[in-house]
Amino acid sequence: MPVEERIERVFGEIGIDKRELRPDSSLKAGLGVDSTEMVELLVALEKEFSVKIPDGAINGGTTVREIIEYLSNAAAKP
Amino acid sequence: MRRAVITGVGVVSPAGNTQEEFFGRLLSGESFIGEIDRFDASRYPSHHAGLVSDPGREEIFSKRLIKKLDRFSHMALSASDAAFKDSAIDLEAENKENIGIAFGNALGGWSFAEEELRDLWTHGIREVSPYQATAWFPAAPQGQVSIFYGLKGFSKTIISDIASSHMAIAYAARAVMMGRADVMLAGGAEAPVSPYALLCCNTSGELSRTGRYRPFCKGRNGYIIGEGAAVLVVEEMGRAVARGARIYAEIKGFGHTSDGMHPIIPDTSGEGMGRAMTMAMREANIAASGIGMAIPSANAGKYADLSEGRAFLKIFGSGVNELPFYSPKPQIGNSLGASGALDTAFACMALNNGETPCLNVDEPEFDFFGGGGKIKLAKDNIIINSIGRGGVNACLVIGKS
Repeated sequence: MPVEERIERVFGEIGIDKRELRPDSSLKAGLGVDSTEMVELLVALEKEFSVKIPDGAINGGTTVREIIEYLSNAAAKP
Repeated sequence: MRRAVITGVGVVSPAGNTQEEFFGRLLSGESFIGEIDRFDASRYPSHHAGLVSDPGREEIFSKRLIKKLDRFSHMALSASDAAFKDSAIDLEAENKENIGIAFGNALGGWSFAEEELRDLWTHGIREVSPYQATAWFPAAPQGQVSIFYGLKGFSKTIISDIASSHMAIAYAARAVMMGRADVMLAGGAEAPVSPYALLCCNTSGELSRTGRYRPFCKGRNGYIIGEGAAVLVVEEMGRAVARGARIYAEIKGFGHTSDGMHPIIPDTSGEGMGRAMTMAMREANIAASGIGMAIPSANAGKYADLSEGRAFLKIFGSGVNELPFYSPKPQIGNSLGASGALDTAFACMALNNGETPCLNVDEPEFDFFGGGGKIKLAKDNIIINSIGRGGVNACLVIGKS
């Protein structure tokens, strides 16, 4: 499954519909993700992509496009 | 002296989520107690409950919000929304610093917490939802309602077993009367039908094992659990009159006492319950002859019913034989921290409709608690009791101004 779809699914689990996701929307200002939702999102992404996301690598200012890029790169690593 | 009146009523209950359903179905005598089917409760000594089929208002509260909440907060939000709409208060035009919340709850949100505890012990800390911290605790409904509507006034959650929301209504009235708030949302929510919470209720020894909830009957053997929420809009009378609000009732007096004797059993003499009733009636400046009906706590416990029955005898004397009694609990279950608010919501609707059903007590322990049917209310003041575990006694007198 493409990275985009897997990310959409993770957002869906949090209750954010894929129709709300725009490449340029940032997590906090664009999607209204609060600090608790951020914890849920990071844990869910780490599980989905079997990666460890270092503190701050994805934060309130990160956009959907940047998340896709970050996880495409992280998932490509062996 | 500022006075506090009720101008909005919202319920989420086993008998439905609108006033028409709730009052109409209770009036018809229908029972909403059934076998618990949400999980296998067959091995619990008491496995019946009054279940809410719909916690409500999916069109208002998003999935994104609801998934962070336990059922009791969801029901509190739905009841608050119904109460606000019923009051016709335009929230956008209000100074929300003058609107507060007083809610009651006894147990917290165990449906949510149990699954997270399971995940903690079987999979470890990373599997626990970050919302556990804000979902489970008894003040969660207060917080969620405050956030959803942006209410920034004087607010509290009261934990006092069956008397929790009953006391919260008194607390709200006092806040309005003292000028700490102009409007208070008052009520409570309880969701005790989860495997662990139901077990705790069972081990207290207070639940009926027969599937029947028969307060004041000689064969009574405890109450049946229920879930639900009720919220009232409590408002300063002057401003309610000025805006032409529908006023269901004035909160005229209340009394709170403690028996201070035993962890579970109340004082069977009824002294503490009677003292709370005297306080409430004195504050309301209403004699026993001015009371049109009573909503007893009706816990159906061996000792709680003696306490309450003797208190009524003491306060009402021979007049007790003319006093109509009714409690919604045998039909919808005892929803603990929400029960006092559901009782008071019912009382508002009875005053508004001018009629009430009456308790149907077969094999009566006392000869005055009633023989069923329904009556027209002859006097428009209602006395409402709640007895919490160990004799935490609360009495409220509401009525037309």
